[in-house]
Amino acid sequence: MSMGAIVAQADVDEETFPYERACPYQPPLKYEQFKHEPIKQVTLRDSGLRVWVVTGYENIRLLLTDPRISASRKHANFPFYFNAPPEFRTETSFIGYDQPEHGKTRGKAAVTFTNRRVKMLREQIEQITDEAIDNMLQMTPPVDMHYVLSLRIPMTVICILLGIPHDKHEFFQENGTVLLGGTATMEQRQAALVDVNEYLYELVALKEREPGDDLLSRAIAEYRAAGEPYEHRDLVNLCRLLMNGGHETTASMISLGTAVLLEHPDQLEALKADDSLVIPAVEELIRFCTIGDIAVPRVALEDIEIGGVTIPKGDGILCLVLTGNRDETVYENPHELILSRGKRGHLGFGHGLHYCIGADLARLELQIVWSKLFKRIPTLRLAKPFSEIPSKERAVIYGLWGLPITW
Amino acid sequence: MAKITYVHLSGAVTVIDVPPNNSVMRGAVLNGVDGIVGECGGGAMCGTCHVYVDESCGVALPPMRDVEDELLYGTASPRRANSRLSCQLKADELEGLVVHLPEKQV
Ligand code: HEM
Ligand code: FES
Repeated sequence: MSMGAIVAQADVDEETFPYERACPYQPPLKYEQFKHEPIKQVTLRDSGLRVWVVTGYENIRLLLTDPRISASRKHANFPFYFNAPPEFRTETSFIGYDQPEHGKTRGKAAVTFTNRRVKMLREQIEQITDEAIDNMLQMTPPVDMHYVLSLRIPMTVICILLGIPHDKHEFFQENGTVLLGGTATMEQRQAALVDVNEYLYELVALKEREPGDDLLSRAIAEYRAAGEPYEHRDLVNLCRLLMNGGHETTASMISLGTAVLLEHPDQLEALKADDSLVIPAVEELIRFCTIGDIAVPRVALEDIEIGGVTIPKGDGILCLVLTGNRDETVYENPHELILSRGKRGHLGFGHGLHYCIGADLARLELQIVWSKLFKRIPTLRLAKPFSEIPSKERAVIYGLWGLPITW
Repeated sequence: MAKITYVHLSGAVTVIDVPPNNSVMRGAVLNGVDGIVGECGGGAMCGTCHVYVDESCGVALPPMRDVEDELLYGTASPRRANSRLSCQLKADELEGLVVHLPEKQV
């Protein structure tokens, strides 16, 4: 064998992480290696960091409830995929806090997102969804559903929860699209970030002056009632986290999930024929797509022994939740989509202290969208072959760059 | 280590030494105590770690956060005056606690 071949072999073994998916709803082929070595080190693509990946349902659940892990972005080895500017390490709000700060800050928002409160939003979300569909139906197909529907619904919902006045919703829709769409320039994105940030400071001041029945006003009231000092920055960071967390994720699930359903016509027919199937269907689609596969990063605060491996103190960790959701010891034929078997308990919303605060809200939004979409547009189909729709390979939140549809 | 006692519906009793910094929920899950599901893993989202605290054991409990109170309205088994979510109870501070497992969690 020549030296050249050996180098090439080493290159293949050291392909940087994250890997490209085999297809938008199937894990990267490189994930096969985790069957033999479920906990191992990889090199991150742009930052060049060496971090541990933890795979498999039980390993991930064990690690994500271990008190010796941290989600703080301040650690040198925190698994950023890029060279993060300093504010990415500090201005995170509670997704990057450990206890007790995590509980205190998350607690300011948590009640709004409990199942009981979320259920009260059903009629409002139904109306928002119907309006988005009406609006889409007035257009001449083909249209990009990702922009006209998938991104709009969750943004409207989060604007309402935060108490953003109606005349400002369009401002958030437009900036959200600039930030998440693939077409804006660096300058446009930078400008959108600045504009949104400035407006959020105004919003916090507005809610201090004129509190309403919304999350932000309640958070301010709670800080005051507890006699806890707060800075406007804390509330702006909280708003930004909830917007970022709730917008792209839900939109990606709507678009990718819809495409996956259209690619599995027998499953889609079953869903159309039985309204009650939508509840398990949402769980199965979240499990199947696991758009947050590479979005669950941690750091070891001590040496942690897990699965026969010791992760040394200070090292970065990625819990690859897609491997847990495709674990054959938990799900029979894990790479098949079977809507009727869907149930909670998958790792698509993470696990442990940082379990997705918006999980029940996202579930309801998705249930409503998929109950209505195929009923109101029975001939809905892709306007291009699925294989020609570009996907967000290696993006922290996986998804499609658009969803061209026709009817 | 804190000694926590889990009383099953049948009356059977499991006593566990819960390692430091763990919740009463994780103590149960790590040791295979069925009767506590802990689906979200302690995120205060799922309400499947519901327990009834034995008031005769004399252990003082920390106050409830609003989110725990809200979730306890949605548990699978009925809420009682002594209902708590075991993921919100840090075992270290509750040596000698006795909890009763509800009929169902989901
Ligand atoms: C289908 C849609 C969604 C998916 C797949 C998803 C996924 C996730 C995942 C995997 C995590 C865990 C991150 C970690 O452990 O580091 C998470 C956390 C989070 N999500 Fe979601 N999410 C969705 C919808 C939402 C919505 C609608 C909101 C808000 C309105 C939201 C807000 C958040 C926040 C704030 C966190 C941080 C929680 C914490 O650190 O305590 N998400 N999400
Ligand atoms: S484990 Fe989910 S609320 Fe306690």
